[in-house]
Amino acid sequence: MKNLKSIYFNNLIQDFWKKRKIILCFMVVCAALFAFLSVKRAQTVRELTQEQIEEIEEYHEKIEEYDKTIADAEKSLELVNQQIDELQKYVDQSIYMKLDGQNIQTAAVQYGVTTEANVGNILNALVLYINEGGLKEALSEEYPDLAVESWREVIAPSITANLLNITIIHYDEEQLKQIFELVKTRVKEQVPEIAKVEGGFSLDEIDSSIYTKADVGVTNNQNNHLNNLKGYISNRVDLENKLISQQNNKKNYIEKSEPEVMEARQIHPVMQTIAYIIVGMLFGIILPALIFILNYILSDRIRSKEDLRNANLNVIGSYHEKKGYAPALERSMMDLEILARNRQLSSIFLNVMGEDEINKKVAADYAEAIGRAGFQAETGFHVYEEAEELKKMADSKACVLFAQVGKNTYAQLEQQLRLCERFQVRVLGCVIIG
Amino acid sequence: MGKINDYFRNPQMGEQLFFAGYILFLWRSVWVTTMFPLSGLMTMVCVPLAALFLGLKILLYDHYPVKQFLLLASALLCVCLVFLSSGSINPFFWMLLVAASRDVKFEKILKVYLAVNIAVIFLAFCAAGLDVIENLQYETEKRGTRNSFGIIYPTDFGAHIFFLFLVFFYLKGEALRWYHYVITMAAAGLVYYFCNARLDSGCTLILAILFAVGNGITHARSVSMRLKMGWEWLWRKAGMWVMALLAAFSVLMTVMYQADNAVWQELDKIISSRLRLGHDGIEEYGWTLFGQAIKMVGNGGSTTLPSDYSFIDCSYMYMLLRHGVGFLVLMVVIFTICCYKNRHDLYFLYAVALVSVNCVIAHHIIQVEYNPFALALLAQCVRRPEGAWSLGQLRWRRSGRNCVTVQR
Repeated sequence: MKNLKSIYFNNLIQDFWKKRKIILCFMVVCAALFAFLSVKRAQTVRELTQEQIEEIEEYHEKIEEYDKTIADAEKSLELVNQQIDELQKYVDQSIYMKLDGQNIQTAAVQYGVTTEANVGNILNALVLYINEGGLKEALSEEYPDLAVESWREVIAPSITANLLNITIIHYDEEQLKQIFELVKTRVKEQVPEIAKVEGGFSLDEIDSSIYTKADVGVTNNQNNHLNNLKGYISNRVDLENKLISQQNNKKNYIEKSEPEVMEARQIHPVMQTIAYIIVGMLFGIILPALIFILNYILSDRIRSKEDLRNANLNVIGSYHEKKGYAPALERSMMDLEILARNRQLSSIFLNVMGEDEINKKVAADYAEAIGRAGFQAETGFHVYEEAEELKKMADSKACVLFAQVGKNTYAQLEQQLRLCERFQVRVLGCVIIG
Repeated sequence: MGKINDYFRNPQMGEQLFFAGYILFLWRSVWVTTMFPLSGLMTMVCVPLAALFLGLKILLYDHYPVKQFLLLASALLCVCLVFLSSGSINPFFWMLLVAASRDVKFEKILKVYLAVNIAVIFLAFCAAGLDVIENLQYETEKRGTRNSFGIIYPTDFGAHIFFLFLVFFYLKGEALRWYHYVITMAAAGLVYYFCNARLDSGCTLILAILFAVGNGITHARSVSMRLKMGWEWLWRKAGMWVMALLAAFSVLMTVMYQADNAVWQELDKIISSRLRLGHDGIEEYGWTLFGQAIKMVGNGGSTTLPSDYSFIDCSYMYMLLRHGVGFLVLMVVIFTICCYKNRHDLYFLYAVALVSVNCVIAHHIIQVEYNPFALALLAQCVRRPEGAWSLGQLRWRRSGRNCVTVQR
C-alpha cells in the first residue's frame, strides 16, 4: 500500500537548500555560542588557584586517611575470619569438644619396661612416639571416621618409674575401643624400632581397663573454647560495622566535599575550541533540519509537485507567479490533448480547489487552451459542495485537478480523488499552482 | 466567536496540539538520556507545557463513545492513584500520551519519534566523540571496555539503537530490502563490540532475522500458501498474548527464585542478577495495588558505580513493585488491545513481541523515548485491514481490478 504523502528526502534537501542563508546564520550563532562555552571551560581546568590547590590536597589527604582505615579494618577482618573458621572447625569436628563431661568413655593401659639400658630414654621415646611421632601415621586414610587429627587431646601418655600409662578418652564407646586397640598394636610394633637405638628391652602389658568417668575440667575447657569463638564473632561484627561506617563516611565525604576541578588538565585550547565549534555547527545544521523534517511530517499542506509525482500522481504542469508555466502551457496541453483523444472525450472539466485570483487565472488559461484544441471546457471551484458543478464534472467524464501549493491539503486532494472515483470521472492529471 | 468555534471544530488543530505536547515531552525525555547538561528550566517548561497541550487536545477535540470513555477514565484514575501511592509521575504522562493520541496517525507519531531521537542521539554521539561531553567508558574484568557514546549508560545507548531500528523496520514493513537487514545486523555487531550490551545487540539481531523471515514467508512467491497462512494464523492468534505471557513468566520466575540453588544462581548470573534483585525487592517491599515509593539505585551518568546498587531492570517486575499490580495489569491490557486492534498488521505484532522480550531484561516499557508502541491504542493504524476500503490500494495501483483513474 502506498501512502499519498510521505517524506521525499530529495525534496526536503531542496527546500533546505532554499533556506541556506538563514541556516548558515543559525550555524554561525551556534558555533559562536559553543566557542564561548569552550573558552569558559578551558579557563576552569587549565590553571588552579592556590585555594583550589589547598582544597584538592586536603581532599586527597582525607580520602587517603579513609582508605587507610578501611584497609586496616579489612585486614583485621580477614584475620578474625580466619581464626573463627579454625575455631569453628575445631568445635564442630574435634573429639574433645564432643565429650560429655558427665559421661566420658575412658580406656587405660599400663606397661612395664624391663631393660639393662636407660629406662628414662626408652620411656621418653615411647611418649614421643605417641604424642608427636608415628602413632597416627597413615591412619587418617585408613580410618577416616576416627578423627585421627584430634587424637592429641584425647590420648594422654604418662611415666612413673619404669611404667608407661596411656589413657584415652572418647564420647563413643565403640570408637574408643577401636582406637585403644590401634594404639596398643602400634606401640608394640614400635618396640623393636626403639630397641635398635636405645638397646634391648621388653614392654609388658600389666593392666588395661575401659570405664566411664565424669570430669568437670573437660566441661570447663569446652566452655572456654566456645567463649573464645563467641568473642571472635563479636569482634568480627564490630569490625564489619566499623568497615561499613568508614565506607559510608568516605562516600558522604566524596559527595559533599569533592572539589569541582580535581586537576589542571593539559588541554590544547585551540583543538578544544575547534571541537566545540564543530559541535556548535552540527547543532546549527541538525536543529533546523529537525524542524524542517517535523514540518514535513506534520504539515498536511501540499508542498511541491515533486511530492505528488513521487506519489505516482500525473502532474501535467505547474504555474508559479514569477516563473510562469513549467513546462510551457502548450507542452502541457499536448499531454492533455493526447489523453483526451485516446479516451474519445469531447469535454474536460477543470476542478479547481479554491477560488483565489491566481487559481482563476490559471484555470482561465487552461480553459482557453482546451477550447483552442477543440474540446469543450467547464470550470468548477466548489465541486465538492455544489451539486451543479458536480453534475457538470460527472457529465464531462474526465477532469483536471488544480491544487495550490502551501494552501490545499493532502486531505482535500484525497477527497477530490475519492469524489471522482465515486462518480466515475477520470482524472487526467494535476496542475500545481504556486 | 465563530472563528474560535472553527478552531475547535478543526481536527487538524487537535493533532497539532498533540504533536506540540508530544515533541516537547519526547525531546526532553531523550535529552535526559544523554550526557548533555539539563537545565531545571527545560524541565520546568517542557513537562508542564506538554501536559497542558495534551490535556487541551483531550478536552477540546476528543469525543469518545460511552464505553471507551469509561475505560479511559478508569485508566486515568488508576494512574492518578499510582501517583498518589508511589509518587511516580511517569505512568500518568504515559497514559496522558496514550489518551491524547486518539485519531492521530500512528505513522506520524513514529516518524516524529524517529526524527527527534535520531537528531538528539546523533548530536550526543558527535559531542562525545569530540570530547565536548563525556563518553562514559566502563572498564570491566570480563566484558572489556563498554562505551556509552554520549548516552548515560552503554545499555541505554544499545536500547536507543534497538528501538530506532525497530520503529524504522515497522514503518518500512514490506518495503524492507536485503541491505536493511545487513545494516541492522552490522549495527547489532557494533553495539555488542563497543558497548557490550548483550540484550540490545541480541534483540537488534533478532529484529533483523524476524522481519527478514516474516517478509520471506509472507511475500516470497516460492513459499507455499499453507506456510504463509500458518505463519499469519500463528501470529494473529498468538502474537497479542506474547507480552502477557512474558509478564507472567517474569513474575513467576522471580517469585520462584531460590538464592541457595546452584541452577537458579547460574541462571541469575546469565541475566546479571535480575532474578535476585527482583526477588529481594518482593521480599523487602511486597506487592501493592497502586505501587509504592522504592529507592532505586542504578548505574549511569557516572563511571563511579554505586556500592548500594539496587535497581530492578525487568520492566514487568519494576511495574509490579513500583507502580503496583493494578498498573501492571492495565499496561499489559493496553498492549494486548493494541495488538488486537492491529492484528491484521503482522509487523506490529512482530514489533510488540520484540519489545516484550526486550522488557524481560530492560526497564524501558513505558518510556516513550524508547518504546512508542503503546500510542497505537487510540491512534489511527499504520496499515488497514485487508478488505477494508483503502484509498491507497484503489488509487495508486496501476493495474488490477481496482484500476487507477489517474493517468500517467
